[in-house]
Amino acid sequence: MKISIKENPDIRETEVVIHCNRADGMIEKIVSAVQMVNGRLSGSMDGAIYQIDLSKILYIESVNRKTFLYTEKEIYESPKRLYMLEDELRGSSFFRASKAIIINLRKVHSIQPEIGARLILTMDNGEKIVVSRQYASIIKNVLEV
Amino acid sequence: MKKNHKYVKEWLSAFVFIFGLMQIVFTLKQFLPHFGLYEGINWYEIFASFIAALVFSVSYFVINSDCLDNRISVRKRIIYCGIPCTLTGLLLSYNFGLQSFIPRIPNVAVASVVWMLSYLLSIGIYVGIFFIISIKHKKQSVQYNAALDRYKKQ
Repeated sequence: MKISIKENPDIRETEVVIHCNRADGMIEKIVSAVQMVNGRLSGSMDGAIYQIDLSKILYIESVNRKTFLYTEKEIYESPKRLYMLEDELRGSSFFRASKAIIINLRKVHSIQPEIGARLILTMDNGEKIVVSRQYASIIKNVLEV
Repeated sequence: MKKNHKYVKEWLSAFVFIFGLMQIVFTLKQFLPHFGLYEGINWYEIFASFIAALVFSVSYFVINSDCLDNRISVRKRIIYCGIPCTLTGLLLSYNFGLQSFIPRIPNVAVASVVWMLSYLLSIGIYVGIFFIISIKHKKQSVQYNAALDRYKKQ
């Protein structure tokens, strides 16, 4: 894989273009990595709207039809529904852990298997999230185990 | 409602599996030299299979099902279910299992000793199963965490 960077002082917004034969798994990973660097989600807290870096979000949870973005210290409310965020974050390191939770796999500290083919994920902030049997297989596939 | 159906189906499949397994075990037991020729399963054994299947399947459902995950930890569920499971195991092993041979062993013919041995065996089997599962989970945990590290480095 060749990587070339062309610097041009006239360009105002950085653009990443990938020239490839076919958009395979590796390309998806590159896109995901780029999105993670540049990607942001909007969320509100105490009436103010913030742009939150994807790399800071631990997990996203839907409670009573409201969607919350959890970072290590703060909790933001997202205007979008969980399924919309799932679509937006497809191809990134965000995966469904249950019907109400999407986790950021890069923010998982450790994984522990549980009885009933479930997984218990300990997040970077110490919180534990149970991955139901239905979604555990997706995470296992991503980790290639 | 759909979720309840899922849970009922989950429990029912466990019940049918255990009940069937007990029937096979009782059938095979008839072929053991001690029990003589095959005479078929009697009603008493069918009833015992039914009760055992009921207790084991409910315990399996309580431990394994995800509907209780947010209310009570798996560890506590295993301990609570251990009591009815080992008691059922005690009754099964005393009346139908290996312990039924014990009264015939000289000097160990005291009923209370036999009951105690049966119960210890049941506890041993129950604890043994979960010990094997926990070892398996520990190995898997190492494998998963290594895979997670690889994923993060990508």
